[in-house]
This record gives sequence, structure tokens and C-alpha cells, in this order.
Amino acid sequence: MRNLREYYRPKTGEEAFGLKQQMNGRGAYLGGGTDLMVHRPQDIEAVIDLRHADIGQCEVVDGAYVVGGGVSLRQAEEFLAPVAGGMLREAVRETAPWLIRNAATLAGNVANASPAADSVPALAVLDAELMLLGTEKESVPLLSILSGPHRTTLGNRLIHGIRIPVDAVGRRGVFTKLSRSKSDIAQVNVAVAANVSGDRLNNVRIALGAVAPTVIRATRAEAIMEGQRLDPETLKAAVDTTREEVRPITDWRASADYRRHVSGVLVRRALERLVASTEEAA
Amino acid sequence: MRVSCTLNGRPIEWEIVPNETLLDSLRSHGLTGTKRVCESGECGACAVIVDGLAMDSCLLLTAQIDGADVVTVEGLETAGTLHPVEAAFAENGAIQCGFCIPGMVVTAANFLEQNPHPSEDEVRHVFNGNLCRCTGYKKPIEAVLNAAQTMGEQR
Repeated sequence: MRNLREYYRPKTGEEAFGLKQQMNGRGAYLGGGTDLMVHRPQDIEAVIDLRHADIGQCEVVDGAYVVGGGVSLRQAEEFLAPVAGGMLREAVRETAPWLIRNAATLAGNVANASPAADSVPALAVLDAELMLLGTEKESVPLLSILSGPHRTTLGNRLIHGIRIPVDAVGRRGVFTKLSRSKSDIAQVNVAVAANVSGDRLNNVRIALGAVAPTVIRATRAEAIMEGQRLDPETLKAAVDTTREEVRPITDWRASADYRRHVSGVLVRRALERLVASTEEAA
Repeated sequence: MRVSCTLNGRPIEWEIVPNETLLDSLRSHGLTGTKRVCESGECGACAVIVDGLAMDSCLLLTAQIDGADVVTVEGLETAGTLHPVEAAFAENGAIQCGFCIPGMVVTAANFLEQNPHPSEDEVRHVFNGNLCRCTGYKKPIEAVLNAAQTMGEQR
């Protein structure tokens, strides 16, 4: 960041947004810095450090879990431990090792818009909403802001919180990924969640990362599983459909064909683990 | 611009430029135990502890530590006595070329403070963020587990 000339430390989210507006594209929000300080964009002349703004709280509001925009992955993983049987905690942990989780923020992992971000599919299957602060406040579905690899529709708006709605908190969930080491970037990652009543799955959600320009929901596979039990035919149909829904590319981590195949394998394993964990709990 | 903070227990005040990283500032002030390697948050050789949390100093602007409490590898020992993690690394011979070791020691000391009874798996996951190009992971992992035991006995 050769051209960086100014450093700001706003005390509130509103002040941060005001500064970002003023900078007109020359300023960047700085959360944990684990993406910004790696890419070091040359056109950035000012950073707006969010670490001291009033968006660093975790709170349960009427049963919904709200993670503030300035909350680190480490804080988030502890706060989110009770959600979906610990699934979110596991996904956040596997996002990065200790040194990075101490610095990086959950909102930053979302805003960075990596197609392979581990926290994003895990949040998506729990219907997570982004609480945005702009000229007005609004809440939007998390996946709706992702428009491509490292591209979002956020503009100057600040993520001042991420909310897991009360209905989703008690869902069963499983996160799994294929990667060289535990917190390496995923070749494919998968999160599934559902309410399990008897042996039937309701509110089925399936999300995948690193297999499309953004993290995606496999909505047709979800529809196949909705209200069903995990019998071999239904499971096979959901797995085959998942492989149709993904749009992977080949890069040096994995080939498109391999990613497509593994997408099905991980969805099958995740759904099987989801049902097995329910049986154990019963 | 000026920043002031506590560094290894002592108050300091530095004149800096806004795009200076903490890694650069530390090394230019003679604290060369903090190593410069990847400068992209991959290797952990530049780990320092900021307000009780170990992180990569190559990813921090020095401006960010204004008002903070910073501990580097030089600040781990107390009155000439090695930190239990440093002692365990020495006892276990957990050092080959040694370049990654300050980062590993700082990371492990901070991790054990918050996770006094880690499993081997947990330690392995922590060291996902500390690369050793001699590939000497086995002994550092054993050293951290030994240090956990020593620190437990001292409690």
C-alpha cells in the first residue's frame, strides 16, 4: 500500500461509514487485515480501522445470535459454539490457524467474498442475515451480496452485524471440507443443515464453496431432500443433482471434474453425518 | 504520525509513516527476534502478542498498535528465566535452522495461556500457521505438549 497516507480510528459504525463515503473509493475498511494487508491494493490512500468502533459485540437477541462486524474469528467461534450443534464453530475454526483467527473478523471473511471461504456456506445454511449500515440500516440474506470472486454489492456499506435467526439456531448442521491440511484453503467445502423430526428432514439447506464464482446453495438438491428420509434412492438423487448444480473451475488446487465429483461425495457424507448425529443425540 | 504503546513491559513512542507494518517498525528498532519471511500471513515467523492475542506482525500497521500492549519474543522471558515454552524447545532439541522458532514460541506461549491442556491435534492445527522449511514439526509439537505439562505443574 505504497500510497497509504491516512489512518482513521472511528469510534462508531456510523462514523466509519461516513469516512468511507468521504474517501470515495480511496479508502478501505480494515478489520483484521488478513486479506487487505496481503493484497495491499495500490489505489488505497486511507484505511478505516474498525477494531475500535462500537461493532465488536456478540449478543443473543430474542434467541437470535448476533456477531458484531468487528468480532474476530476466535471470539466468534466461542460465542457460536451452541449454534447448530457446534457446526458454525467448527467451520470458523477450520477457516484459519490460531495466528489468523486472532486477527481476522467473521464479517471480513464474508466481505472478502472468496468463493472458498469456509464460514460462508456454514452461515448460509443457517439463513444468516447481514446487518448493513449505509445511508440507512437494512438486513439482507448473506449470499445476496456476493456477485463474483472477491466481488460484492456492498459498496461503501458496512457490515455491522451478522445475525443467525432464532429458527435456525436449533437446526442440526454439519460442515466438512476437502483440503491439504485442516485450515488450508478448501478444494471443496460443504455445509448442510436441517430440522430432523423422526427420520425426516425439514428446512433442508445445502451450501457449497470453491465450486462456483461465489458460495452457492444447491437449491434443487435441497428440494429433493425436503420432507424426505435419507433412503439410498433419495440420497443418490440429491447427490447427482448437486453435481449438476455446481459450476467448478480447474485451478492448481483441483480440477473441475474432481471438484464436481467431490461435491457429491461431501454432500452425501454430510447428510449421513447429520442423520447419524441426530440418532446419537436421541 | 506518532504512536505510543507498551512494548515488552516498557512504554515506547515511535515516529512512523502510515503504511509502516509492525514487523518493519520492530526490526528497525533492533527487535530482530521477530523474523521477516513471507510478509503475507502464511508462515508465522513474525508472530507477536498484541493485547493478549498472538498475530502476524507483517499484517498489522504500526498505527494499529497505538495504545496497545505488545509482547515480542524478546519479552517472553522473565528476569533472565526462559518462558516454559522456550525451555521446552531447548530441552526437546526442537530446533533445526531456527529461523521459524521465535514465531513458533510466541504462538505456542499465547496458545497455551488460553488452552492449558491441548491435544496433539490441536497443537498441530495451531502450527498450520507456522511454517518450518526444515520440516521439523515433530519435536516442536512434542515441546509444546511438554511445556503444557510443566506449566500445569507450576500452577
